Amino acid sequence: MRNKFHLPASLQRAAVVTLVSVVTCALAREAGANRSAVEPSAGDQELSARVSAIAERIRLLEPRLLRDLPPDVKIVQWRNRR
Amino acid sequence: MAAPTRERRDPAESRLRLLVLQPTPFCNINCSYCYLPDRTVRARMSLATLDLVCKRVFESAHLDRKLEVAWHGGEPLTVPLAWYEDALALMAKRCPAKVQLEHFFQTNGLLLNQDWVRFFARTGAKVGLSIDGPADLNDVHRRTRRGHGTLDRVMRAVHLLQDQELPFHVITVLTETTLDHPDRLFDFYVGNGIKEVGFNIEEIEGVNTRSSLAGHGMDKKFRQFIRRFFELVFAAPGQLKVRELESTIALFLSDEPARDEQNLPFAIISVGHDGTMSTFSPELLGVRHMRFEGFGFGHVATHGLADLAHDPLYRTINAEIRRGVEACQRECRYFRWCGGGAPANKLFEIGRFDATETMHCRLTRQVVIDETIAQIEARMSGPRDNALPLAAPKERPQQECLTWSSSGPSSS
Repeated sequence: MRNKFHLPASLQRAAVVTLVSVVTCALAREAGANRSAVEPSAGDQELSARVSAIAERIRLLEPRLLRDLPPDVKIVQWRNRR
Repeated sequence: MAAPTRERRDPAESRLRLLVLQPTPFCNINCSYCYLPDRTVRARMSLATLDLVCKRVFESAHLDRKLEVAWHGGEPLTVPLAWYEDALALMAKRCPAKVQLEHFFQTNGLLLNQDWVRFFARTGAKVGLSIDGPADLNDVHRRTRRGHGTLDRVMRAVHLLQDQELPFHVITVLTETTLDHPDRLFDFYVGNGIKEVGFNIEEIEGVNTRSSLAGHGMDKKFRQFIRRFFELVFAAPGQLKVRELESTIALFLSDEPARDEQNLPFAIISVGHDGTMSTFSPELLGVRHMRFEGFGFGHVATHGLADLAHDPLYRTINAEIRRGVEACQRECRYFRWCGGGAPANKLFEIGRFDATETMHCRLTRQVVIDETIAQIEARMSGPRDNALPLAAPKERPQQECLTWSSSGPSSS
């Protein structure tokens, strides 16, 4: 993945850009900007609803992330692949 | 069999994504959890056999524009470097111009030296090292045949790769031993400059008929390990790329349901050192099971890839695998992000390919999905009474970007 998300320069230098870092930073930015806009999730929601809520939020915060995902992300890979 | 069948691919069939080549079944160490029955056999794939592999694969209608070639043993580096020089040159010569080959070596690292590093750098081959963590975690399972630990030697390989700035990733096999030490494991990776890791588990497979993770209470203990490890990764974003987290988040973002390449026929082709061909889980090649003589569906000397689909054993196994995937789809709420599981684990844990839930899928799919969701939700909802704790322990790399502001510089 190319390093073109809203990450601090120090983080870009020090480490690898990961989906975790992009998502974490996007959510942290949002929380810092407007915590009241964040809808709490319900722990007993259906799994698919919880994942949909996550995907929706990430798509909203980092639309470029989706565009840059490789087409084969929908394939679960063999355990000895990278 | 007479002349191999000329292929016409059904567009609905899967593309060949991964070619797993076993240059030798031999391994120079003797890990306690190894599933391979023939790891003391010093046979080696001949270049003539490899040439036939090229013929079968490159003429196949399953071929895509990109093909990953995984050299996976045994220990692939027990075969001399000179052989790989010839082998990769041969494959490059035989490969159609429109196809991009990407080589990948999964190694225990003990034989890795400057020559190998130069070879990897020159050929662009990717490297994965097998390391189970600090010495007391690694050396209890990853030992030489004389019973000595292997960590010192594999860490030499880590340093050689790092000195040449050659990227690599680590695969760690989680056993019961590891589960008490998520913090130490995280520190081990970060402290040693390891940037990418993938977690496998001690599987019930082949000659490894028991797993320390199959005992009472192990699911809970495994979940606690994953929860803590993911917490550390989320608390220090960018320090460590964890394959399970990356792939799970990507699956969450995908519009389409997941499919598992291990249960898609011809998505993976595995070829043994003797030219025996198989598909589905690569672990099936070279192992035995009481219900089946073996899992070879053809031979490169006599069969094209299309012929494998006509093999009676293939048809039996494919039908059973399909029934298993369909049952998973009907019964399992994780199916959308799993794709129906790994056939080899179903067979060796439950005895059938048409089984559904396994220890392997509970630990590597269900727990991982649950805990990935939990970590993200905790950050979506902010600190709440029922959310996971966000705090990172002292003296750890902290989450720099928590203070990041949208007014800061963007790298886009």
